[in-house]
Amino acid sequence: MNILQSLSALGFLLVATTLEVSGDAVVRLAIYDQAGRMRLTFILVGAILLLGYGTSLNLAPVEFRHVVGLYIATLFVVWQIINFIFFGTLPNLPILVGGTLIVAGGLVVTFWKPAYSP
Amino acid sequence: MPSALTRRHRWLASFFAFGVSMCVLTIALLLFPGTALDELWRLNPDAHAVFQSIGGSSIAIMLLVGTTCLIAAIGLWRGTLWGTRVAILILVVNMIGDLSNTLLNYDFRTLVGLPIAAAMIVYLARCRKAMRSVGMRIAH
Repeated sequence: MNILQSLSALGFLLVATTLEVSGDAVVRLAIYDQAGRMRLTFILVGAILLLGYGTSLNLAPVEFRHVVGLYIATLFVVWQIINFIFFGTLPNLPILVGGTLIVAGGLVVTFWKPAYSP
Repeated sequence: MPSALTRRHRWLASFFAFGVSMCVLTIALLLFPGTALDELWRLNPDAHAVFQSIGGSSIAIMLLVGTTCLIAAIGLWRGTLWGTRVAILILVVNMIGDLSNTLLNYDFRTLVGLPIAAAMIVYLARCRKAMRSVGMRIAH
């Protein structure tokens, strides 16, 4: 995968992961933070976001096996941003250290070109 | 002077007021075709084609959308609970429309609006919850 393809895939992944993580956050809020009609509204909003995530990921013109590393790395970063927006908490040291490894691993999976590949 | 039970959302009210102005502009363009303002359809030619295919009822739809946005804008500006409810309803319907557009027309661009609308709904719902809890404390 060259740099241009990676940037295009990254755009799709940014949209997909943003929809996925915000959908998860909204469903969590529906379960723990809301009641009655508002809970139903939040579940509906979460369902829309998660369906949007599935749609964007599957309609994106990229092979999933080629973007899995980038996907995990993007998911981690977007997860922290959405977590801060929705729940107002910042990542602590273990999350930052582990997250660095996740992002580094994602870049290795995406960009490392082995001499022999089955 | 606003009471403890009200929380004004001037930025969100302005957002919905902008929606009202766009509805008014669209109705004017549909009612008076062939003017110099028709150039504005270049901003969204797909919408123009859809409105033309729907015919006369497109004006009724835009009237309904514009009126609902106006109600939400007034309610949010005043900081009322009903304003928040109407705004959340509009945002949910808008999200369903955006997702349908992606599924039916493969238009990825509309997906970008989904998390933004969700963030606005969460913000409004939290303010609504805070208003209710303040109300309950005052009642007790």
